[in-house]
Amino acid sequence: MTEQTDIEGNVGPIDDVTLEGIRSVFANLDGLVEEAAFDSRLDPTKLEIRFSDGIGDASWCRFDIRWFQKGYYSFHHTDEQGVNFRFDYHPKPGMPEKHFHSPPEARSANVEQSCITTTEPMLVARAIHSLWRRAYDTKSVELLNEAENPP
Amino acid sequence: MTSPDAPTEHWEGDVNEAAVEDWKADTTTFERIRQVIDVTTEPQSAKQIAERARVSEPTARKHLAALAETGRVKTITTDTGSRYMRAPQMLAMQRIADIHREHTKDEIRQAIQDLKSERRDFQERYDVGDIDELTLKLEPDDDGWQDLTRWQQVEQNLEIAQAALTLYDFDPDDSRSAAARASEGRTATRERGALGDNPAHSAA
Repeated sequence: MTEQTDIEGNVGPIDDVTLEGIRSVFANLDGLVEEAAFDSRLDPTKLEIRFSDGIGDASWCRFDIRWFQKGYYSFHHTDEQGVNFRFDYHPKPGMPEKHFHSPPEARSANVEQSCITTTEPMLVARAIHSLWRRAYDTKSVELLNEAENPP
Repeated sequence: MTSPDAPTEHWEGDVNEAAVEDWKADTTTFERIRQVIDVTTEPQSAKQIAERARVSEPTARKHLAALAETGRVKTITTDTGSRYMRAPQMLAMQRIADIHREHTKDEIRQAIQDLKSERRDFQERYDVGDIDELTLKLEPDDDGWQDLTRWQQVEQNLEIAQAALTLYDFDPDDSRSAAARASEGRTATRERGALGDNPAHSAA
């Protein structure tokens, strides 16, 4: 239920209305989006965005997205090759609140400052999509957390 | 839109700023106001909403008034002017409509039972009556925060599931009988809640 998160602090319940908006952003922005749906409507814990292709050798990938009512979020990427990374914003004592869990394991320790500075949901979704798309087009996860283009 | 063969078509400069430019290019001022207010859970002034949506303040006021008219926006009048936020009931309807389409009445009842038992587990494990008591007990690096988040989720799910159950057979216009008469001779449709065929869904 709360696996893949390391949230410490009061972030509030899942904001499924905001997630609806994020779902539209991904669905309208990229032709590779195959499916975009909640895991459940009676008990929604995440929005799942499935892509019909992935970065490099991966034949598919998926973002599991959580947006919380107090404005915090977690965008978790996983793919067919087991490459995981995560753009997060939530209280995490001793670490930056906006942080990036790097691939391939997206470990909880050793996070870096996230390059996503905006907090507006539609903009966070667009920025993360752009970063993913650049990684997809260049077949490399090296620059995922690099805001500048060209870097 | 980029294609897989066009790796050069990425943004220029900072990705956060590029996101703003793309958003402005893809949406009308009305759409941006609606998208911003839909994610606004604390009351804000028209000026704040305007800044977030990258529109002028008069434009924001105009669209906020229109959205308030449809019930999508809640307006709060204060000494220092109006504040705006999303209307919670309006937005819960979307989820209730989805639940009515995807679940039977029994499934909703079962979900309510499960959620209530999950709530009891939290009350017993932490020896507290409600979420506020648990919040007071937790320290910043406690392990209990995930449970707190989950418990908040359980309470929200319960509210929605109970509203969905109450509205399941809601049909003051007797629209289903009318629909059945209209399609006389066809086989019976699958059980579905009153809002389950709400055409508003596709507009989400």
